Amino acid sequence: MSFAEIRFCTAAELAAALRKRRISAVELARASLDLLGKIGPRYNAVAALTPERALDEAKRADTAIAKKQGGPLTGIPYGAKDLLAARGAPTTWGAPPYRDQIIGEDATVIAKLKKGGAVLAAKLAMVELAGGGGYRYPSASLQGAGRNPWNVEHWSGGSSSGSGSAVGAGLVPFAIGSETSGSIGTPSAYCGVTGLRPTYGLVSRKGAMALSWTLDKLGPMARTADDCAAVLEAIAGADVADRTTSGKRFKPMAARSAAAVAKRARIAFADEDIADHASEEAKQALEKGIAEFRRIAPNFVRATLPVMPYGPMVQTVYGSEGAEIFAELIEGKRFEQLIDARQKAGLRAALETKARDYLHAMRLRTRLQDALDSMFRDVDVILSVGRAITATPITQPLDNPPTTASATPAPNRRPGNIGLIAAGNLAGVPAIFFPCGFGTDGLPVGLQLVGPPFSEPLLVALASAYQRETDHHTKRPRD
Amino acid sequence: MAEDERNIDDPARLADEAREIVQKAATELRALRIPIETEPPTTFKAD
Repeated sequence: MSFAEIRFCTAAELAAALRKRRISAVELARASLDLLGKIGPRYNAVAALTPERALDEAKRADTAIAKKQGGPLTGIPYGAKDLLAARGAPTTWGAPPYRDQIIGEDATVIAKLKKGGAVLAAKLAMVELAGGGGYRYPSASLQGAGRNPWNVEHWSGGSSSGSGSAVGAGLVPFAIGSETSGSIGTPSAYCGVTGLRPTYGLVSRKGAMALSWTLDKLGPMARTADDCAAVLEAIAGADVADRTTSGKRFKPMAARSAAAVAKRARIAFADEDIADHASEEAKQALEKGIAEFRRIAPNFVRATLPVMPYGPMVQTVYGSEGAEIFAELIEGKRFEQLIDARQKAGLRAALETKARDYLHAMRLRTRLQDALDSMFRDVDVILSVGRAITATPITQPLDNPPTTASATPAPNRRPGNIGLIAAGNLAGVPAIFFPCGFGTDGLPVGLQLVGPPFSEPLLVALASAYQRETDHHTKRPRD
Repeated sequence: MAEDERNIDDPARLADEAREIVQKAATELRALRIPIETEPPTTFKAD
C-alpha cells in the first residue's frame, strides 16, 4: 500500500490490509511515524513520537498476524493523549512544570491496547492540565495551540487537541482522548471525527492524570463509530487498580440487531438546540444532519433536560477536585511556569471553594441522575448538536464570548438540551459525537447522542447506522 | 458597576474575576434547595 492509500484509512480497513498482507505492521508503523513526524507539527498535534516502542509492538503484531492470531487492533497504530502514562515516553500533561516527567509504567488503557496488539506511535498534545482552571487561549499547551486540520487558523478544540487533529488529519486511525466536561466532544466536533465518551467507570483511569476523580473518563476518537467500538471493546472492563471501574465490559451489537434498533429507538430532540443556539455558520449543516438522522431513526419525541445550573455545577466539581489534586503545584514555585494566566487564576481561586458548595454541587448531581433516569424511561437516547458552533479562530479568547462546552447559555434563549455536555458528564452517562457536515465557513459540525449508563452498544449502533447512510465522516482535509 | 479598565490579561484582574466566578457559582448553587435526604452520588456499579 502506498503512503497515500494508508492515510485516512479506518482501523478496520487497515486491519483487513494487514490480514491480506498488503502491508506489514512494521511498514504501517513506519508510515504512521513518518506522517506524525512530518505533518503533525502543522497542527501542533504531537507531544512525542514513540518510534522504538512502535516498531517493537509492530514486530510482535506481524508475528501474531503470521500465526493468524490477534484481533481487530493488531498492528494498528494509534496516538494517546499525553495525560496517559506510557513506558518509554515522557508524560507532560501538556504543562511546562511537567515537561520532563517520566512515568515508568503503562496506564491501564495503554496496557490493554498493547495486549490487543495495537501500536503506540505517539503521545498527543493536550491543553495544560486538561484546562481545569478555565483557560482563556487555545495556546494553553506545551505544544502550542492545537490547530485544526480543516483550517490551521482555527482551533482543534480541547483539551484532547492532538487526539482530534491527529485523527482528523489522517495521521493515525484512532487516538485515546479524555473528557472531564467536553474534552472528547469538542475536538471531535471541531475536527470532524467520531468520539466516544464512555459511561463513568467503564474504562480504567489508572495511569491517567487526574483532573476530577468523579468526572474523568477516557475514550476513543476515530474515523468511524465502528472503530470507536473496536477500541472501546479493548479498553473497557474492570481494573483492580482503579476502584471506580464498574466491572462492566462492552460488546457492540450484532449488525442485524443494530439496524432494527435504529428503526425503533425513541430519540429525544429539542429543536431550539439549533434554532436558538447554533451559530449562523453551523445552523444549516446541523439542521441537515438532524434531517438525515431522522430518516435513519424516525421515532423522534420532544424531551428536554431538567433546567439546572450545569455550568456552575460542573465548574464547582472539577474546579475544587482539580485544585486539590494540584494543590502542591499551585502553592509551589513551578506553578508560574503554566502558560495561561487565566487558568492560573482559576486554579488558585478554586482552592478556596467551600466544602458546602462542592457538596451542594455533588448532591445536585444525584438529583440530575434521578431526573435522567426518569427521562430515559420515556426515551432511549437524547440527540443534540455536538457543538452549536464551528471551531473558533486560534487567537479568539474562549471566555469572551463564552464558547466552552460548559458555558451557561444566554438567559434569553430556551435551554433545550444545549447543556447536554455538562449534564451528561455530571450524570456520568455515555455520549457519541459524530460529524454531520460542514458549516458555511468550511469547518466541520457534528451531532451527539447521549444514553443511559452503559448504553454504548445502542449509541454505537445509531451512529454507525447514520455513517452507513452518509459520507460526512469520510471527508478529508487538504494539508 | 464601573467597567474594569485593567488589561484583560492583567493577573490581578484575572484573580479578581476568578474569585468572582467561584462566588457566583456558589450563589447560583445555593439558590437551589435540595431535599435533606439527598446524598452525593455513588459510582455506577456492575450488576
